[in-house]
Amino acid sequence: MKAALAAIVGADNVLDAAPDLAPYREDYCEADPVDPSLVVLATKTEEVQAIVRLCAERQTPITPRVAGSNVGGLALPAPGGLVLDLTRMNRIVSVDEADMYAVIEPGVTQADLKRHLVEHDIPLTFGFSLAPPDTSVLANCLLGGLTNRSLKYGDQSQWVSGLEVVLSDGSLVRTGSWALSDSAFGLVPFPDVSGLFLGWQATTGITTRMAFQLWPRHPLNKRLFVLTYSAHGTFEAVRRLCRTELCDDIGGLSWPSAKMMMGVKHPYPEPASGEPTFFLYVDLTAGSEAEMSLKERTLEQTLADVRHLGERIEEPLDVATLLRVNPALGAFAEFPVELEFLTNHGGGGLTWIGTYGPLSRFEDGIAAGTEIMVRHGFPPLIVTRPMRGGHYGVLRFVAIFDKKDAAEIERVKKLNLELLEMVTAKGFVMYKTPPWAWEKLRGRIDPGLLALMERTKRMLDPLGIMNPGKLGY
Amino acid sequence: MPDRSTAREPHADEPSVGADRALARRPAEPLAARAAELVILHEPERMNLLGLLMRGLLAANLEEPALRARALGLRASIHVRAGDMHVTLRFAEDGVHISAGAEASNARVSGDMKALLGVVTGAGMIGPVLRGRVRIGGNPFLLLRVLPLIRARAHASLPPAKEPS
Repeated sequence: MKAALAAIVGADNVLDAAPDLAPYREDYCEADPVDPSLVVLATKTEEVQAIVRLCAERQTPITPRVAGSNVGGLALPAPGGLVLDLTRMNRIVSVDEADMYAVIEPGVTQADLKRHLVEHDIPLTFGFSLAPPDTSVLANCLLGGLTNRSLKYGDQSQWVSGLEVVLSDGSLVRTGSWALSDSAFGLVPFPDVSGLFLGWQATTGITTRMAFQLWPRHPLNKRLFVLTYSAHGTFEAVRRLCRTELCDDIGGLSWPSAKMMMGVKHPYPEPASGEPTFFLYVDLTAGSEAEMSLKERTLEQTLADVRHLGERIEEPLDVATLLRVNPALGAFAEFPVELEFLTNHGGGGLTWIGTYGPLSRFEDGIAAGTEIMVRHGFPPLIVTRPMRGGHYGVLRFVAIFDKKDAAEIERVKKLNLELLEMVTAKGFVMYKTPPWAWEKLRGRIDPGLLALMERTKRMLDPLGIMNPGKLGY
Repeated sequence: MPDRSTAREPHADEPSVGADRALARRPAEPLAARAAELVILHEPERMNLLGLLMRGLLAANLEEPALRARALGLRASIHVRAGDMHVTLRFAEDGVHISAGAEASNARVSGDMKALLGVVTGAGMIGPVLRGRVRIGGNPFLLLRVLPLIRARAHASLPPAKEPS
């Protein structure tokens, strides 16, 4: 196998020494490490096709990977399987400024694309997840991840306007307008088969190029922080702000996040007396000072209306002011961001139960999740965001842990299991669903959907070599 | 009428200017290395957000020799309240101790979060006090001496103040 792969990509691009394989055997989360047999680094679509054909011939499982920062073990190989490292496929193939989309390869990171847009003075932007700057934009789109433009435009899979995918027999398919037109303007009007690859965790094909929508970058931007003192006040304000349709983003973080950002590794699980329980960060953009002023006034009026209900909410604080007070808060000054308190805290472990669900149930979910986290001895680190105009939202319970501490890993597993049960019972659906969670949910998912997925999977991957172990396959 | 609150350090209402100057003449490097250590947070796991913000401000300011000397020359306690969060800053020989809650103090300052942040970022104290958004009590001269220690400085390491993205 090694020699055959070397014939495709060159011997230097096939790794089999233990130290070289080590970074591929785990990610941030609590999933057990898995040793790949080989790692192969591809640089172009033709190589990916040849590698997939070879894997099909040898019936070798293949798992694509870029940064591996999905926090769900989704890029961990099947035992003895092959990891296809796509970091070197990092070309920004094109940016169509007029029609506002970009065509990129899997290895293009958040930082790469931002740099490209800035350096070429292109007045467009995209959305940034809270994952590190080296995170793959394409992977976040395929997995339906969220960004700081998700309030306006939904999860990132909804921005995809065309895919180029290597199927399990090595053949290539293009979806969307791209199938006929030289412009990847959208997924309409042909039957849209992009859904065969979005949310499928690379179990149906390996995406080698993606067209996706960019958005106008307005000359004026402001990020404002709003401190709140109750979950109800927080999300009543969020729901009302969504309906103003004036905000680009409304992120909500529970109180431990600010403390951890300012250097407290393990905050006591209960908030201190009198301190805010949530921090909203609200992004406003505008084309003129008058527009910005109107948006700020509307924000302030909306918050005042919620105060009149008896809720306590502080006045908005400009991020620049907070930065002057404490540079540690600079993590939220500009995206993409390396949230060191999550990814570089010494213990190395980061896990979450991340869900999409109805905004109307957030208070209930937060109360139950907080109780569970505190009972398990974790500070209730909660990340929220309304999505797509407020039609739904993300509710995420985050925990950091020491990967070297077996007892703590077990504690984290119990925590996540209980959180999963709770959120599912309340109508939330876990995204980037890790294999363990899929197994727990399988019995509750509509059997018709499962059967259709099974048939789809068999059609697209009859040998079962594409990222096995995910979504129950 | 000054508040007659009892200081934890009984001799400490007014700092000695002489002590400030003596400390300022010390070699800067060893002290600079110690700046962050000179801010002592009591029970950091339970510390409120206000205390953590204060720690950041003080640690940054104590890198400046003159401000460090001023802080180490003070023997006094200040109670700061933002909304319902309370901290007490106690200036002692070994540094500035921050503890959550309202302890006996020589001076007090309180207000809503936005108004207090305005004060520490340079908006000045008098205007907010006159408008009633910031309230002070106790020894006003002590507050004037402490204010530079909790005033935000320009941080060279900050990202440029441009739009978030």
